[in-house]
Amino acid sequence: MSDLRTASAIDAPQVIDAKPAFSNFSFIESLFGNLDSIRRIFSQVRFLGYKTLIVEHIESVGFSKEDDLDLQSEGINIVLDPLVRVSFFRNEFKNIADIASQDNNSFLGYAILKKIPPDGNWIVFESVIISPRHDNNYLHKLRKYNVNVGGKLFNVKGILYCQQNSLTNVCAHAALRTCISIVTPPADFSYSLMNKILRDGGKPHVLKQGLSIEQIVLILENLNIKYSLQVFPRKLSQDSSDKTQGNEIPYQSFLYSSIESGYPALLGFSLEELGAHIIPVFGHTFNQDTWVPKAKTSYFEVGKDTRYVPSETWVSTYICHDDNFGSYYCLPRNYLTNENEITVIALRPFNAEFDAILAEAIAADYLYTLKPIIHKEGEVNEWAKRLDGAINQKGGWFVLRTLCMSAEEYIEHLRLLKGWGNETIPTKLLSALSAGLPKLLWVAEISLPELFPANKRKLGEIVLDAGKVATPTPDLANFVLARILNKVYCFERSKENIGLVEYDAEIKTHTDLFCTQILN
Amino acid sequence: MTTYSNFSCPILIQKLQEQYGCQEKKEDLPFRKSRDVSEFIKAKEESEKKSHSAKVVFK
Repeated sequence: MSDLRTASAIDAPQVIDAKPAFSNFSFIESLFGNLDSIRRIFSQVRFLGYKTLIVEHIESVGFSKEDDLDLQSEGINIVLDPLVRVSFFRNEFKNIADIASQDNNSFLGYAILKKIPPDGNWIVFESVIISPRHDNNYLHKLRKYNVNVGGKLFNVKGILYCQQNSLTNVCAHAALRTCISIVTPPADFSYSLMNKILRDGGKPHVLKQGLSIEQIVLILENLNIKYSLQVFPRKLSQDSSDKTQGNEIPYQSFLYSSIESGYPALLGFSLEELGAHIIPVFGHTFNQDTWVPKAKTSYFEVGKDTRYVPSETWVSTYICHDDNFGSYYCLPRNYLTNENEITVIALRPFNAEFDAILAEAIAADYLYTLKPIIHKEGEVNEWAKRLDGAINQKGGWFVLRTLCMSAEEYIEHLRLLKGWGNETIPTKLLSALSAGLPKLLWVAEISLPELFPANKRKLGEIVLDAGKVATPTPDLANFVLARILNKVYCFERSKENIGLVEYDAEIKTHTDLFCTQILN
Repeated sequence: MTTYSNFSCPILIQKLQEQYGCQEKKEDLPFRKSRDVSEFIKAKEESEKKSHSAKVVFK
C-alpha cells in the first residue's frame, strides 16, 4: 500500500495563508508551471472555503518508489527531486504548531505532486479531496485515507484521483487505480502491481503504449473483480440520440448499473486523431425537475411487451475523474454520442453473478407477471390501483431503480420504512425475512414518475437472489420476493403456473427509497 | 408433510411459515408468454462476448 500519504516531511512544513489576496494561479505557476489537474484541485478547495495551505517535501516512497523502479528497469532516468505534498485546511492558522490543534472537520484533502521524466514536468501522483459540495451530487461509496500533515494524522473521505506518467503507465492505469481503490479493502493499488499482473498473464504493458480491453479485464479478473463489458461502435449516421449507440441498451445504463450500487465504471471513448481515452465514473447528479416526456424516448424497452421508465432518466451528469484535467468533474449524461466509439466496463459486487441491467429486466418481467394480482388489490388500495394503471398505461409508465445490497441492508431498510400514515412493517415479519433471505440481493424499487423524482418514494420492490446465475428461462431461479405496498409475495413452482403465497406487510402507501451511503 | 423444494426460495418460505405464519394462498398465476427477457438476456450475452474482441487501446 502507498505510504506517500503518511510519509514524514524531509524539512519543515510551510504554512501559507491562502485567503485573498493569495492567488492560487500565481502559486501554481511559480511551483508547478502549467498543470491543469492541480489548478482544478486548487479551484475545488477554494470553493470549499480553504484558508490555509501546507506545503511539505517528501521522499519518493511506496507507490512512487515502485514507479521509479519500473522506469529505471526500462532504462529511463528518474527525476530525483523530492515530491511535494500540499494539504488544505478550512481553518485559518499561521504557525506549524497550530497544525496540532486542527481536526478532520477542517481538513479538506491533499495532493502529492511528482516530477516525471523525460522533461521533469509535474503530475499529480495522487490526491483525495472531500466529495463535491452540491446537494444533488450522489457518490454512493467513499473511502477514508489517513494523511500526515506536519506530523499529525488527519483523515479525508473521498475518491482517489491520480495521473499517469505516460511511460510506464497511461490513462487506463490511472482509471483502474481509482476504480480498484473504490472496490478493494486497501483502498489503493499500484501501477507497478498492474504491470506485474500483465507480465505474469503474458500480456505485458509496452512502454509509452496504451492498454487494450484485454489487458484491462486481465487486471480486473486477476483481482476477482466482476464486471460487465460493452463496446458501442462508432456510427457515422446523423442520428446521435443516446438510444441508438449501436446497441439497444444505452451506455448510460451500464454506468448507472454500477454507480447506483456504490461501484465505479470505466468509461472509454474515442477522440478524433488522439486514439481513445478512459476515465473512472463513480457518481451522478440527480435533477428532480427533469422533464420526462410520455414518449418512446423515456422508456427502457426490454422487448415490445416489457418496458418501464428507468430511474437513470433523472440523472443529469455523471461524476468522474479525468487524469488529464482533475477530479470530480460532471460529465453531461448525453455528452458522448455515437460519433464516438464508447466502451463501458461496469464493475459490480464480488458475489453478484449478474448485473443490474439483467436484474432490472428480470424484475420487470415479474412485475408484469404480478399484474393480475396488483389489479385485484387495486379494488381495495388506491395506490395499488395507481400502480395497476401505470403498468397498463402505454405498457409501462412506472419507474424501476435497481441496487445491489446485502440481506442485512435490505432488512434494515425495511425496518426504517414508514408509510405516509406512519405505518411500519411488523417486526415479526422482519425477523422471518431476516432468517430466510439469501446473502446478496438485487432490489428493484418500483415507483411512479410523479412520485420517484420529487419525493424519492416508492410503492415496493422486487427482490432477486444476486448469487445465482440469471438464466434466459423464466424458472423463478432468482426470484426471492416482491413487496408491493402492504403485501409480500413469494412464488412456488408448479408445472404450468406460478403458485402465489401472500403475507401481510401492513404498509398501504408509499415509502422512502433505499438510501445508499457506504463508507469504509 | 409439507415440503418446500418446489418454492423459488424454499428457506424463506419455510421461515415465513414458521415465524410469521399468516400467509394466504392465492390462485395460480400463468407464466408470461412474452419471451422479451429471455431474448434480452441472450442478446446482451452475445453483445458482451463480441465486445471482448474489440481492438481499442486506451492511452
